[in-house]
Amino acid sequence: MAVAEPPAIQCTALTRHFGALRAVDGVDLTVPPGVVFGFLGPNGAGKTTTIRLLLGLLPPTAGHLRVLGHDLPAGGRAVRARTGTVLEHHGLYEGLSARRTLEFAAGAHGLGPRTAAARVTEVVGRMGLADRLDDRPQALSRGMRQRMAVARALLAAPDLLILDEPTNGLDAEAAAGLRAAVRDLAAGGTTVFYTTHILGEAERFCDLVTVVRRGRVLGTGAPADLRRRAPVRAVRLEGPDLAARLGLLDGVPAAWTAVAPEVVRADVDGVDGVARLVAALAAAGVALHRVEPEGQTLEAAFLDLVAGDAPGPAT
Amino acid sequence: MTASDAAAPDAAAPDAAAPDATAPAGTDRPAPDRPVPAWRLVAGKELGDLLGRIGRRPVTRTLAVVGVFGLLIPLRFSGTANLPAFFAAFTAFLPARLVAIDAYAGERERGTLEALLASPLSDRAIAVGKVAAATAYGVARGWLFLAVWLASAGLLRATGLAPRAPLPTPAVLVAVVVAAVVVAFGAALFGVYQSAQAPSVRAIVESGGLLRLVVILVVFFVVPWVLGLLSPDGTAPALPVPGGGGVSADALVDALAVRPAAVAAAAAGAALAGLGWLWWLARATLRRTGREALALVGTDPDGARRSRRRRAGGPRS
Repeated sequence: MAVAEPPAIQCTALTRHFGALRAVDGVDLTVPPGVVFGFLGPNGAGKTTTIRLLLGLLPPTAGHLRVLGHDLPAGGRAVRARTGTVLEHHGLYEGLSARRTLEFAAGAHGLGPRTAAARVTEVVGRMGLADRLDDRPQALSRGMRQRMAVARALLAAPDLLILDEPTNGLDAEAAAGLRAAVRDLAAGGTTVFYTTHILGEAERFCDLVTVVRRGRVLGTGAPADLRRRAPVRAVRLEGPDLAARLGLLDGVPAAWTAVAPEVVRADVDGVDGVARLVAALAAAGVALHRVEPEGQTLEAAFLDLVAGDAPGPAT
Repeated sequence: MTASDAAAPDAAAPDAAAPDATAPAGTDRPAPDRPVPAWRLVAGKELGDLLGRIGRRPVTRTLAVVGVFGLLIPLRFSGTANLPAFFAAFTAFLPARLVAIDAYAGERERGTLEALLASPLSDRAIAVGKVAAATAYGVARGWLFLAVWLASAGLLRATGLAPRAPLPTPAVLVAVVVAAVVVAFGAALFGVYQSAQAPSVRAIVESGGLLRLVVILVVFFVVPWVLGLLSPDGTAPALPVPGGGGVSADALVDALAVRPAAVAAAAAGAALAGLGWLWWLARATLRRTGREALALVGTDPDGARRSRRRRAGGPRS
């Protein structure tokens, strides 16, 4: 019988206060191994504090946190030894070449100088930056610096990769390259904890997402599942000669516009509104080939979750 | 491959001293690729980053300081041959302090501290490495001053350009070589202690400026003056006493010389007090450089204070 792998990250009622501020407030998370996990939220949602908790840099005020089989914060060092991180700042030293910085990072993971040098060359080569290894960060573009930071995170072949808004400031091509590299890693079994406030990116990229705001979890699930929770504001209908037939009807229970002779877009109020419209058209003998709710994006779901999260007492 | 796998080749590297039955006779076997001790790794990174950022400025500054304080002033005021020795200690103090106050606060400002804390290096290895780097840099600057001064003065004397160019006695030279290490270590330790909890280097520089000035004045000017090392004729001055008059510092030393036990006890007491202070400072620095304490800087002062109190006797990660 196959034994289910334990979660890479599991936290229960995780809480971290800074004085009166509740940066992380009763967060429950379960991240299975080998997935790209999106941790989404606006600025100040508690993403960076959560990362500090995951790395054992801060102890939780309350709750339980277990990462890669180690309870935190006691097992912080063991977790950091198996974790690669790309934080908000690339972390390259101004006075050192990228090679020296990466060799230092490899040494910090216990590699000897020769092994570290070989590993740096190999990983940076995979990132396509082998010819820039002897440059200092000031001589690298933002995208190159970010890729160097990713290379550093991969030096110790981590089981967990924590990426804190890694595509911030990258152009579209560099961001796509970085996402592809991360996807390859996840395919190889690495768990990726990916924070971002770019919802479209998370929608395309993550296997599982959690939406947080003011330190609280507002929703968790696969992006497709969360999308389906978004309210339906419009529906696209297709049918033979549909626009002309609707024009002849009285009392269509929705405002509508013709997109093409056979395609109509109607404004509705939620799923119930779609059902009422379809029922009314069926009763009038209007045939439909296709009914497709519009606007169910992760962004719409996010905004709906946020709207439902009324401000609590001042914290 | 996991991180532990990645490190495994090092851990499993054969001992160089052990015989290798599989190696043909006469084959050169490469030395095992042992990891560098963590504190040395950090110290190397600190020095490399520092030198990469500041370039050759330390050497040119040392030459300028030697020229003014090592040669010109002693030449102008005869009898101050040992004066440059105190500047050697001074040049160990300042660079060590400047590097030390940058250790955490500078990294925090440049954004690299979080990445360092996210590494598996222990809190202690990071702190020790930073203190070691600042000490080494201070000592190197102090000794560089001595070396350039001795070489310049020797050259001036040998060529007859300045036959009275100041050279120290061997005893003073040895004392300063040792003093540079002690001064640099103390400055490094105190600088790292301050740096750990400061939001920026500027905040440290602007705090306690007057106190620092007084300490520097006493250590580097008043003490040498009392000992007669700053007076033109090399004799200690009379110390003013309340109610008028004065007592010669030389007379004081002579008086103490007839009571060697008291002098030895005073010296031992001073040494113990100094060691005690360093011990307290080292422990306080290690507490301040714990990851939790570092991560809290700039977030919530009340929380940081509570955390420091709690960690005073608690375990370290």
